[in-house]
Amino acid sequence: MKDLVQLAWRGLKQKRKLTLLMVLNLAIGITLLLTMGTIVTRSGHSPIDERADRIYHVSLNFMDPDYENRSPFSVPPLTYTDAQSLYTDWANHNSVRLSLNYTTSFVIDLPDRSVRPVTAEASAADTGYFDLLQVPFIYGEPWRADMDNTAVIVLDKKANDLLFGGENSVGQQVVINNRQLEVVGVMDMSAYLRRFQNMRFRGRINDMAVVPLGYAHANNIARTGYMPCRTKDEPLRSRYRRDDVQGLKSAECGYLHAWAEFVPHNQEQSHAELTLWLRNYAEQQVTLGRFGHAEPFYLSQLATLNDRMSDNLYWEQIYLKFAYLLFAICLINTIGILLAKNQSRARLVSLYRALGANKLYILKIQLLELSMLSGAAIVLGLLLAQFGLVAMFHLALYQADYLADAEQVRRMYSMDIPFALQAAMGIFIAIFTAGLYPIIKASRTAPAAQLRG
Amino acid sequence: MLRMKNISKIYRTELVETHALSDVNFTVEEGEFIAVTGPSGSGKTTFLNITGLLESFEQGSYELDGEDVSTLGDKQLSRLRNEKIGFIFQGFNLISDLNLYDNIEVPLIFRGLSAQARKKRIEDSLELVGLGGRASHFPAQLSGGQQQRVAIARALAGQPRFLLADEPTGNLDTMMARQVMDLLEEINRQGTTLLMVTHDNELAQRAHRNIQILDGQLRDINKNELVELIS
Repeated sequence: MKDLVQLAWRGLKQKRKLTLLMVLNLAIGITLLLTMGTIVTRSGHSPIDERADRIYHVSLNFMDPDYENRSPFSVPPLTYTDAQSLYTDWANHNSVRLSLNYTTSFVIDLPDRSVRPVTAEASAADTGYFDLLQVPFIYGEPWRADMDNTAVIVLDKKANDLLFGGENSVGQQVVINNRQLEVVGVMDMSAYLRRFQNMRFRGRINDMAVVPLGYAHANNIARTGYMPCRTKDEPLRSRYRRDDVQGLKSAECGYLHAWAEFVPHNQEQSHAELTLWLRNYAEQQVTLGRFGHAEPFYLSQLATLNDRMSDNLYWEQIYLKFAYLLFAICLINTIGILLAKNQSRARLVSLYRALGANKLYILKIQLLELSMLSGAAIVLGLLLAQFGLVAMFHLALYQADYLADAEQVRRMYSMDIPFALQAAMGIFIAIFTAGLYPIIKASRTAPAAQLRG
Repeated sequence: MLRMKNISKIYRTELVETHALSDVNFTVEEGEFIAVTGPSGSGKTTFLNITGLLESFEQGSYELDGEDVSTLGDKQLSRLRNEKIGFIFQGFNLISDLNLYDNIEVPLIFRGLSAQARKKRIEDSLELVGLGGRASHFPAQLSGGQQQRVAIARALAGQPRFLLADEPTGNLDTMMARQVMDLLEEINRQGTTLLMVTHDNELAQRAHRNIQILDGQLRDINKNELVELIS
């Protein structure tokens, strides 16, 4: 094997400029493919991908008949009334786990004001939120189900780093809206590149804290997310966001996101049951004169939403298609260069044959040579893709507004190692397959004709 | 050690068939030095390539060291070439990117010898051709005669029983040609069978036995006939 490697290495060194051209040619194609592939892959996936096919967003359409639902991501959140009905009937279901949340933001301070306050994007949620996201905890744990009205909070690692220098803050107090809350856990949301829990799927920022939903309602913690209202309640929307939580509870304004997770063995039946319930409930609301929209409910699968999210990356998808095209061109180009190189090396192959190398041995040398060449191109492509991702990150940050969290955006443009390895393997197979023709052709060179003169 | 019976070789194109060799019968005994002469296009190189197992033939049988080569596959033919035959080409066919050591090492790698065994053989063969101590030089740093001596060293390193030389002095001036011929004669004296193709009848005179190829047909000629051809 050592001798084969030695001969393959000598082969690479022959016509060095052509070898270099092939490596660069492939590396450019690989760079673009990996850069755009990584961005699109990371954009459309989350750490709970394996459960994404049995997690559904539940929406009941209380909006006016002329309400235009422009995308799967703009389905109306639930009103308080509808959320209560859903929760009452489904919270204790054996095969369905339900979780409600609304989007909020607040300033987190310490009681002694010893550190700079942190402006946090956050969620008010029931404790099922943590089960839904399966978010890892660094310290502590989620609050218990019976603590929904208690003044407790779960901080994200980022907020904990800013407020407590990364120390274990469980049991410590923080201040929100002049009220003290006890930290019960510190979670790490860093793997969640998109904030899907409020259906926005934005990649620029995620929850830095979560407070109990009951406590948030009781203490009127503001509602800052998407909050469509029926025309009659539209003028009061600003009030409902900040001041009038009691009024909001009876208003036709949607702000609560409901997620249902079906247990695996009973998924289809649970889906059918929930669909039936939604249909019956919507019909009931129609008879009560509340609902009038042609699409009375939506049950959106997270996996489908993830796919739609990837599809929605319009320019990135176009760039990815171009990257595939360019890689194909680079591959064809490489075959051309390889053919040219082999043509100029026909004499060498013939000499090897005359000196006693059989066709299989020649084939082995050249396959090894191609493997080394592909390996070099892939390594170079990976390195350049890393630079490409950094460049795309800076571009994305430049385009983002001041609210964007640089760290969150950076993660979106970071190398996805499993994807990179898979892609590298695929690329290697593609190069190897494409390179077979020139190699087989070279191994069949008739030696006698080349050695004359 | 070599026996050809009724060997024929035909080159075919869409328009024409060329009979390069017709019904060739040829035998070589151990230790012989045979010169094959003939005008251009007479079939000398084809004969040498078939002898060296680089080309196949249409008809006849060919035994090398008791093995019927017409029944052998590529792997066995390559092994025979590597172990029993050494080639010396008119154009030297050295690999310009490799130094002398690496050039000579190539056929030994194909044979699967250990690095240590290869080293000894390379050094010995370089010594034999008078180029000991120049192993790290590259072909471009040598004269034509020296390059041909490296090619001879490469052929000898495999310790072949049979040396095939195709116009070995064709690219050399008279002085260098004489030196190379002296070396080949010396190698032959030490027991290696030598078959040399040449268009130079004066060089052919140095062989023990002379063969002439005309229109694809072989015939033995004696020294007197050769002298007549020269004059």
